[in-house]
Amino acid sequence: MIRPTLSTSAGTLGVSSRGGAAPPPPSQLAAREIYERIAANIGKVMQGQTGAVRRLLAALAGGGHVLLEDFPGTGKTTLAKALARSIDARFKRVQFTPDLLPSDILGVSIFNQRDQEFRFHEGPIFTNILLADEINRASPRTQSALLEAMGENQVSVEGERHQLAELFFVIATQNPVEFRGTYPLPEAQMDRFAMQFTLGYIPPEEEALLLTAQQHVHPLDSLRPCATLAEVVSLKQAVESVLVSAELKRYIVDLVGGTRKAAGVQLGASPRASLALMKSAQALSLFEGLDFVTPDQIQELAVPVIAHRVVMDPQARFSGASGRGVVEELLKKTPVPA
Amino acid sequence: MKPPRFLLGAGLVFWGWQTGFLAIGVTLAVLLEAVHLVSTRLEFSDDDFTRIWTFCTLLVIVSAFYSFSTNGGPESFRGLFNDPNFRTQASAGHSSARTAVMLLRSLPMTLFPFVLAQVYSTREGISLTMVSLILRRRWNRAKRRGQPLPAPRLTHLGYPYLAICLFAASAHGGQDITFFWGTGILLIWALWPRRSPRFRWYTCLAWTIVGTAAGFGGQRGIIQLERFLEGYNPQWLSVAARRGSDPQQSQTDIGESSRLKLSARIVVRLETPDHHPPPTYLREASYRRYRSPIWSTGATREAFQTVTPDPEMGTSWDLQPGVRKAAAVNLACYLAPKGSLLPLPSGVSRLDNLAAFTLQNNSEGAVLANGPGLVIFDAHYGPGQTMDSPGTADDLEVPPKEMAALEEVIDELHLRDTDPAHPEAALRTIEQYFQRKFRYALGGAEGKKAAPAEETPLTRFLLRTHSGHCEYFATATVLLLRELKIPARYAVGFSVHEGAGSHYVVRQHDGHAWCLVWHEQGKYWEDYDTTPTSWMETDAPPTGWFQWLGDGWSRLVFEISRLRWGQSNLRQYLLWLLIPALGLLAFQIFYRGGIRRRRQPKSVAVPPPVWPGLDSEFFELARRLAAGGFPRLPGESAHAWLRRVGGNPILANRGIQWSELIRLHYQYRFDPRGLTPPDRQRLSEENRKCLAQLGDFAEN
Ligand SMILES: Nc1ncnc2c1ncn2[C@@H]1O[C@H](COP(=O)(O)OP(=O)(O)O)[C@@H](O)[C@H]1O
Ligand SMILES: [Mg+2]
Repeated sequence: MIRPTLSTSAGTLGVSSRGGAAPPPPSQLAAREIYERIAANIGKVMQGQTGAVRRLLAALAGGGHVLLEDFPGTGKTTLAKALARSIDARFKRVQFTPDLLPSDILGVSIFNQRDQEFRFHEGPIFTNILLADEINRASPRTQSALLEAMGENQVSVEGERHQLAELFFVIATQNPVEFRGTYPLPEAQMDRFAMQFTLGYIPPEEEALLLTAQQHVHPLDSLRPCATLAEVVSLKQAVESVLVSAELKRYIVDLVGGTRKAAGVQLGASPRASLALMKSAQALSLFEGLDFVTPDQIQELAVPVIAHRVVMDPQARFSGASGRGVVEELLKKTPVPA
Repeated sequence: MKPPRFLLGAGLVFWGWQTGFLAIGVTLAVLLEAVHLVSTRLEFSDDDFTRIWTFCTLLVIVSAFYSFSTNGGPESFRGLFNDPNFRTQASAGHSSARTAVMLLRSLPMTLFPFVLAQVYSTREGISLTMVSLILRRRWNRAKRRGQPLPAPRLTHLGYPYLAICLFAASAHGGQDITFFWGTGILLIWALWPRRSPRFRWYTCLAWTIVGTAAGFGGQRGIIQLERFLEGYNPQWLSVAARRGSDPQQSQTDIGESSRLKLSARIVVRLETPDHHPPPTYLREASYRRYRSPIWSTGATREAFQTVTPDPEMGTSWDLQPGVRKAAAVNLACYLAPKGSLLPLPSGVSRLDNLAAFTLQNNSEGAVLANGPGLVIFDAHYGPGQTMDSPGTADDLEVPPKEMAALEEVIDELHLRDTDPAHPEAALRTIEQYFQRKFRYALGGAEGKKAAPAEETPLTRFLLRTHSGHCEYFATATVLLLRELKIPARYAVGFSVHEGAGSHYVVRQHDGHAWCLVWHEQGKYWEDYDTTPTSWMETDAPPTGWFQWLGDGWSRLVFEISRLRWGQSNLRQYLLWLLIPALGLLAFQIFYRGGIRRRRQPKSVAVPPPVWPGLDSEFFELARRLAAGGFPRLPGESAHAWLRRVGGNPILANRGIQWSELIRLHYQYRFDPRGLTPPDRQRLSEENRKCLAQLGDFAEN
């Protein structure tokens, strides 16, 4: 590959961690600009959640789905809506309730009297961005239908297969599992989500700003799309061109593989986790203006990408161990390339 | 993990107060806590710490020699080697123990420089490789082979040092209540910052108070439990559980349907010098008066008299002053808390090395000892004179009820004309009579149903059943002799017949009763036993594998008791245990340099790096920082590491610009395309620039 030597200009860009000698190809620069635009747009609504926005967009750009878990009222729905409104793409929202049926999500074949044939009526899953709100309030059967579709990027109804959109991004929210009237998601299918993370309570100063911002009108109402569907697709493509060294691939595999040997773990994370970690780390590198991945991006995303896929022993769980703890311990123990 | 402010100072003051070094404790505390007043911090490298550690170990060695000499160590050990006896042994043991205690007590002083250096340094902790030669060698070996280096585990010395202070404070004389409360408060103080954030502070405080109170109560409770267990000693530790050890009287099983079966528990251990045979009997007491079924010391109920130990040798007791006996045996037996009768060989004259508190004896030859739970002593004994009072009219008393039967036997044996001054022929006749016509049996009451109401058990034994256990034989013999006007007494104790060579054991079922016959010409008492020897097999319960187990257990209890009651030389060996430790330290100090020199020329080829960019100059900077006390943790990326340590004032003040260096380094390492030659050049330059900015930091 022929490499432009623009070394002198590199320092002036002011991005300390960005690759210096060879600036990212133009497509990557443009992609980074798209990311910053969307992040800024969401920031108009979401107060004090830049980290969550970063992770959410890293999942989107890396081609994975996201599960937001937190207490009610912490802004999960708002964040999902803000993202959906920022992109000029098809958006559907499904409020999950105990009586929701699989067909309410996937769609149904209905016999048409006039044409004397079955016609498939697409469900809300046929969209670009799907907000599956309070997903753990629906029955396991309905949850499974959605998770299956997410895993295969297609829907099979009565023997007929229907392909989902090229950009298909699920952003699901759920209340903490201990809450009443919830069905925990099937553990074995949790890894359909590339990331799971919490929003958490924001600092009081930020919360005060939130009050001011929403005193008269909800900023969500005035939010306008700032990126086209095509731009988001190009962002995804740019992420794929971010380089990952063999050493760091090995580091990713060591981290994920570590969960399979850790104490108290019944089921460790699969290669699907390694893939998701690599892709989202690529996206994060791109957001930071790098055209290659460094250990820092991997470390930043290890917990949201891996922790929710780790199934703990009932006994270990009872004594307070969690997937998060396992991954944090692995991060400390596994030697990171420097 | 730094301890909270002023905790170490408080620990030092507490140590000084408890051990009587208050002035020193306060001074050291002020020195240590003054760190909060000065803002300067010193930069010590790994090597500096190793040097300070070496200095501290030297201090420990010097203080060891000092304590040894001030506690009379050289003299007492010279004495021990010249003349190894009980006294020199005890003295050597004492000076070893005192040396160890003094060394322990001075540890907060001798280790102080190391802790002071840590507190005043810029370091967050000390790596164990600095103080351990073994760890350091392992580390260096791994480095030479190019193996991944384990994370240097940094430990702040604060908490270990506090533990040493408390431990040293515990080495003072009496453990009074101030030690408990002082330690408690310091521990709460130390642990307070580590409490779980899940609970409010008052919940923690309440639980702490409950815990402390429980600890205090527990300490008391343990003392009580210990007393309770000691009260239980007779059950499993002491011979007192066996009948007959009451010095005043002995309740026999005469007339009972059967004799109490006794266990195979080992109650006395004997050791004889040069494979000499052991004494046949170990007597505990003798009695003069028989009122069926009880033998007692007599109507006079003479009090015990105190035996005073040898004024020169506090553990030697003369039982027959002025009498010297040739034979000696070493005896080990347990003592009950309220005292026990010592099982002693016949004709015992003197007891040596008996660490009893008090010793009393009576005119029937019983010796009552009060002392530790286990005593091991030497008894000198031999035939001839005994410590019992001479035979008198009391030793001729026969209960009228038994007379008829006795007379009948005397007639049968034609002994009516026996001369009490020359009883030998009569003794032989009586012994043969019992051996031939009588049978040993544990049950003693066969034929009871057919017996006339007024028939005494002894009469039944003599005239009809001709079978019984040793108490029958001994009682009948004593009374027969008395009827012949030969003074006789009833003795209880043990028969020694199990063992070989120099080692013998006596079990509970070896308990025995026999007679003492007055030797009118020699004026002494002689053992006289008419029980058929078959009693030993009959009394011993069938043995099996469990007996072997039981004996093992008994040995264990014995050895533990030996330690517990200070009858072994354990304490003396404390100092000897210190010697290898000191040797190791000396090796560390004097030979370490040599090892380094020898190993250095052999530069082992590092295997070629597997990953690109491992030759980056950045690692040079990394090594400097690690040597200065800021090593990178294993799971810490280079970026996160520099962000962390860069915040430290020591480095921040130097204004090091390493963002360009780390950027180039990252690209060199993680961009699969690598660096262009000019950029590679710049990486090297940036590193040189950073090293220059680092200045004299961690330079060596
Ligand atoms: N970080 C935040 N920034 C802006 N608004 C927030 C934030 N957190 C909560 N809110 C506001 O609080 C309300 C509840 O948020 P919502 O998204 O419905 O919560 P959830 O879906 O988690 O139950 C909304 O009006 C939302 O605007
Ligand atoms: Mg909601």
